[in-house]
Amino acid sequence: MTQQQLIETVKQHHPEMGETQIRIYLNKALDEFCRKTRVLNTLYTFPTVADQRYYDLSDDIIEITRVDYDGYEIPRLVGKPEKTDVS
Amino acid sequence: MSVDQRKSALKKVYWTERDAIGLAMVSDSDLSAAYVSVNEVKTVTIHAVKKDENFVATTGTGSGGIRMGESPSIPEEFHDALADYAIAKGYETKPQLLNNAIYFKNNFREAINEAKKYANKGRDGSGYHIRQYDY
Repeated sequence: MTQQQLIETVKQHHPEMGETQIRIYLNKALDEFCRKTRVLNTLYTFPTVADQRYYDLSDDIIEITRVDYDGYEIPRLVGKPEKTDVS
Repeated sequence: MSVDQRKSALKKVYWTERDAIGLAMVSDSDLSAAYVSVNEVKTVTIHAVKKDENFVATTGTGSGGIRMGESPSIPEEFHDALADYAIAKGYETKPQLLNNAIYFKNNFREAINEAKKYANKGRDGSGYHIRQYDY
């Protein structure tokens, strides 16, 4: 269903409701649906930079399930390295 | 891939902190730390569960959200559930029709339960498993 069709479906029950309000509810529903069901999976690829420790994550990410480095799965560190490097 | 490449990769670790991913490698030379920053250029691939884009008021096609004529990326069979949520919210503002709100909210919850099964089931028809996680 397209966004237009979803809005029309809602308007059949609530003709007084504005499209902006309906869109707010549809976005909340979509966020909750994706977060609870984990139905959408994706891959993000980026190159490392020498001596850079942190790389920003996309706002879309709900949960990281696996990380590959140079084609090999690498383990998640429990906690953080004891020596701080904020680069 | 060479054995050296494999050995090198397996010395790396990751963690998440402040909306970023941290990468480090086991320190062989620096005795002051167990892990030091990675000093080479390699490709990192993150496998992740993601949110869908937001609905936007724009028409036509293109990037930057789900436009009026576009559909969300979640499976088609669950699209109705999004409308159910919005319909329930509308009925919540009408005290005399609260039962309708409960009905449509339950439809949304049932769709979530079905989608969890869908997400955990192999596309080859293999049995599904439910991963444990906190809400």
